[in-house]
Amino acid sequence: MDINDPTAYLQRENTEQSPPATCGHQLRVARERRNINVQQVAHDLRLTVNTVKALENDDYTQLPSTVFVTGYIKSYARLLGIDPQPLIANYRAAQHQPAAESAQPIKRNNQPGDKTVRLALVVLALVVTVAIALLWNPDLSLLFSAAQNESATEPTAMMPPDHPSNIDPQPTAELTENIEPDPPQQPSLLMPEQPSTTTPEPEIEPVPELPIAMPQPEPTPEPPAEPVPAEVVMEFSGPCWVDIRDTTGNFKLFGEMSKGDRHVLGGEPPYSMILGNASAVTITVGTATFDVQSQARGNVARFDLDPQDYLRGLN
Amino acid sequence: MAFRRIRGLFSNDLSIDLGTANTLIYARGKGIVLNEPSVVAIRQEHDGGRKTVVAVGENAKAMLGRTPQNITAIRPMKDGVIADFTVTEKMLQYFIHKVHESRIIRPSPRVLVCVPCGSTQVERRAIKESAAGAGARDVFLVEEPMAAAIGAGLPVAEARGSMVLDIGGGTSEVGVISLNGIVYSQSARIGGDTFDESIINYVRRNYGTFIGEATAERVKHTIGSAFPGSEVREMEVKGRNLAEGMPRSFTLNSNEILEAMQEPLMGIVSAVKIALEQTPPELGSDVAERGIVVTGGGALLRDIDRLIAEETGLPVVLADDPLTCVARGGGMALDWIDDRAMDFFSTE
Repeated sequence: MDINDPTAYLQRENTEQSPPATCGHQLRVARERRNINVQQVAHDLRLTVNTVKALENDDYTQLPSTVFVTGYIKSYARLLGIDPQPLIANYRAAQHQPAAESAQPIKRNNQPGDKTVRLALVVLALVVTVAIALLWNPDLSLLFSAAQNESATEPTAMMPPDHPSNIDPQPTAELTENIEPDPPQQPSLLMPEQPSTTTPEPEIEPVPELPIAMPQPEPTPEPPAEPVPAEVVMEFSGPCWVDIRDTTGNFKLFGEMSKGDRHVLGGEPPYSMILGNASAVTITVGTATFDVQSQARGNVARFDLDPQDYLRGLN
Repeated sequence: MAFRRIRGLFSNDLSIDLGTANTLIYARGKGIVLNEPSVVAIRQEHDGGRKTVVAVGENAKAMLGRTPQNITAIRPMKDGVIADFTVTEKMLQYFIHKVHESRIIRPSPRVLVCVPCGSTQVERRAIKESAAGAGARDVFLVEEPMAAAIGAGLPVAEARGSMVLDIGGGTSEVGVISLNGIVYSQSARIGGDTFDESIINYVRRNYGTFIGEATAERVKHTIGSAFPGSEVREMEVKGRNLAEGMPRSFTLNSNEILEAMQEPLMGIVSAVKIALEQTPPELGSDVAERGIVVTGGGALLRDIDRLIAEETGLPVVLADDPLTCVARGGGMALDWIDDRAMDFFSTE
């Protein structure tokens, strides 16, 4: 019960606590100033006398975990009418350990969001994309330079006509995607070598304007040599409703055709076709006649027609 | 599924405290990254009655009670559980996306969601599916008292009883925890919202004036207290007079608010008392020795600790940063998933 005796505190203060700023010390001083004894405090805070004594003596081994001690300090400070924040800061500093640390050590291992893993994944993805692009079209690297040189011309001219796979339009779509690396700056640099890569006859493009009255060349056995302008001609022997669109959507033939009409399809093949009266339509691809009836179901035909594929299939 | 896994590498594990009033998100290794009201504003389109989300969180809360006819600001959570499934999903989606803002890849994190211990299987499943629908690749559920205890820094792994009281927006949860498990838990559907409602009712009864939810909440924050204090604080409030139909202003004081909130406060106290009765004696003595820890937004109500201490005769301690305890606790639990038995995760 020497705790209640102020002189006992003073003695201990002189001997042990040279810096008078510890949390317990401040609480005790404040309590003594207000003339409250430990029992009273213990009763008001609903703690045991021992706990209060341990608090005042900064003896944290006898006290429960941090959350409780800070709570006790808060309510004690409120009881005494002093600001709890500096006391708590004091207590935390005295604890040495970071205040946030709970009873359990938190082990952080193999974080899935590890930076190196992410980086590796991104690199891998890039490599795979490039590899696939090259597999798809082994001469892509050649096309790169060609395409860069021709970037000033209109997009359809980007297909070097001497390349086999450029006959059908899908690879071009692929190509334009791969020509991302900013071509506009390149041409000036590469200008001198332009003649070697660009072919001098851009007129024989597979997508000319519609009404070219070219005599139909026979489907050449080796398409690589020159792209075949496989003309698709539709002749109507009776009234027929049609809806024909090319891949770009720019060309379309739409509406009711009447007997004797003849249309040459332009635009970008393949075409998606809907014919309302299939028996009244004759389609000629190049020189071959396309069997419309095989596509028709109850006299209505819905199908896609790629003239190049069709001719290739015939050969 | 495999793709979700890859996307997961670009996402942070999240712990979500999907509360009635506020949703908090704790990102692993980052701390609390989001704290927004659980409010969604929805516009009903004129053509075809399609519904679109106008605002979520803080922006939507500002609209609460102030919307034109075709917009409704709603709180998709009620009493701690999902009241509107699709809206909750949208809200979660928005929040998850928001904490991954800078990323190009759509996030697919592992998500831990805290659920009230009183929620039913159906409600838990709804929360789980909602989180999965919002893009989570794995969803874990943990009961709120457990998360609150971990977040408050209680020694949950020790063979000693710790009691935690989490007063949220819609529910209050009492739990006694020992050895990583919940020994007893009880959920009362009383929370911050209930306090607001009782303030609204009190003002209507005694002043014949109707005040909105937002005003009631402001009154509670400013002058509300759970225990009669020495000083009386006052506040001027504006509401619509029911007799005249005109907006009028009047003054409320803290004693009136205390009186108004008496009923819900007593509900919480009795939940704590019942919990203490039901707790096995050994654990009960541990609680009596160290005290009850209060977390959740309700812990910010002035003198709530004194009220509970007075009523139970036990020491009561307010957790640090009580609002974020549950989310932080969930985050710590996520950290332990890899290297500990998952005994504190609740099954669906």
